[in-house]
Order: sequence, then C-alpha cells, then structure tokens
Amino acid sequence: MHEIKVGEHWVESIGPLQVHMDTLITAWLAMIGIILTAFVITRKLCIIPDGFQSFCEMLMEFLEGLVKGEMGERGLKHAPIISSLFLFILFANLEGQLPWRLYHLDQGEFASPTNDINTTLGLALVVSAYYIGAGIMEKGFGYFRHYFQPLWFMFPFNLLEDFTRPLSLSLRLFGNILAGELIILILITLIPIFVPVPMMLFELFVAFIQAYIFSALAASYIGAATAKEH
Amino acid sequence: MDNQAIATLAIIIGIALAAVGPGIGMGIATAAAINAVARQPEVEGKARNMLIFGIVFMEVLVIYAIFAVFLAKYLFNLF
Repeated sequence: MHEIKVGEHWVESIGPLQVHMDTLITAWLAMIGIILTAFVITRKLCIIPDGFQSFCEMLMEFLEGLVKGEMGERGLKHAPIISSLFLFILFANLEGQLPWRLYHLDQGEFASPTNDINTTLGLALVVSAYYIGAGIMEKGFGYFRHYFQPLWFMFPFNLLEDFTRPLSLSLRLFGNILAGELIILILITLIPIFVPVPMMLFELFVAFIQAYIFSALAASYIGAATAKEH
Repeated sequence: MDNQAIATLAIIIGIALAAVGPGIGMGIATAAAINAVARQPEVEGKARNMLIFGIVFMEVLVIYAIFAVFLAKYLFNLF
C-alpha cells in the first residue's frame, strides 16, 4: 500500500544548494535518452531509411512543420530550441510511466522530472528569456515599443503578460503531469490490478500533447516577439 | 466537524466548482470545432490545432485551482 503524498522529494544539500535528487536523476536520464537516440540514429544514415530512421525523420518534419506553422519560413532559425524543448519534455513525461514504483526511496519517489515545479518553471523561464532576447536581436530597442503598442495606457497589461506567460506555461505542464500521476496513484491504492492501465495509456497521450502544447506556445511567443511591424 | 475536515471539504468543493466553468467552455469549443469540420471537412487540421490551443487556455484555469490548493496546504498547513 502506498501512502499518497504530493510534492515530496529526495532533498540533498550539495554545497549551498538544496537539490531534489530524484528530479535531477530522472532529468539526466531523459537527456541521456535523447543523446543516445540521436547518437545511434546518426551512425549509419542511408538514403532509403529503415523503420527507425524514417520515424525520426517524421518527427523532425513534424517539428519543422510546427515551427513553420507558427512563424513561417523565417522561424526556422528558432527551430533548434523549440525541438529541444519538445524532445526533452516528451522524454521527461514518458519517463514517468516506467515502473519506478518498484524501487523505494526514503523520501519521495522517482517519477517524471516534470512533476517538479522547479523543472517546469526553469523551462518556462528559458522560453521567456529566449523570446525577449530574440525580439531584441530582431528589432533592437524598437522591441520595447510593443509594450505601448495599441495605446500608451496598455503598458501595465502588456508588462503583466510577460509574467503570466511563464506562470501559465510552467503551471500547465506541472499540473497536468502531477494530476495524472496522482490519479494513477489513487487508482493503484484502490484497485492495484488492471484498473490503472487505461489511465496509464491515457497518460502516454497526455505526455505527447503537453510536449506539443509547450513547444507550440513557445513558438507562438517567439513568433509574436519577432514579428515584422507594418 | 473539526477544522481539518472542513478544510478538506472546502478544497474538494473549490476544485469541483473550478472545474464547472472550463468544462462548459470546452464543451462549447468542441461542439463548434465539430460543426466546423462537418461543414467543411478540408479545414480539419486547422480546426484541430485551434481547438487544442483554445482548450489549453481553459484547462489552465482548473490547474490554477489545483495549484492554489497545494499552495494553501503548504502556506497554512491545512491538512
């Protein structure tokens, strides 16, 4: 029988920092997974792709399509960060469905790194910094003119938007993943056999949707920040 | 009822109330998307994309409610 706890982590102090070790380990596992997949797939590329290579090519085309849909051709230089965000979040979310519960920790337990608000807030702040930076690179200080854009008194609302965007990005990812894991945990506590399986399958779908949403919203923010003015 | 029971009940009712509005909104949005695709099947991909975006902004309202509950739990040690 598992006890239901929310937001418990295996905390270690490394120097002056308090580190959530379970999140750290699973985040590194996700990164290792991405790097290994990329390494294996690019060893022997062929003109006529076999199954796995064509799957990866399909994924790349999907990501390019996502970026082009939000920003058009000019957005392709932003494709790497969008794709990295997508792949990391996808791997991180899918990782939560591995049978981590078989391994017991004293504090907390292994799960998706995205069920920790620190991970998702970090990702959202990366997006935030990136779109402001991209806007300044594109337009120089003219970027700040959009804060006063329709009329000057809209300034507080436009400024507020810069704070609500990372907030909603991080909370959406965190909330969806955490809620999914909680529901599975509750179902396991009630009836441990067979009943949680449909919910787990649904979580695989949610993992993909959330990664897509996060990267599509990031792309649309970057697209809005770098849009040509008329 | 003691305080803990009242706090737990308040949280459950709060999340349930927060789920009502977005639920209605998602229903309306989905119905509109189905209507659009039924009238004009070639617009399906675009409609799905817009539907996902719209639903995401409604969904985040419920997630704010869940987050507020956990925040309240840690700030006030409710249960």
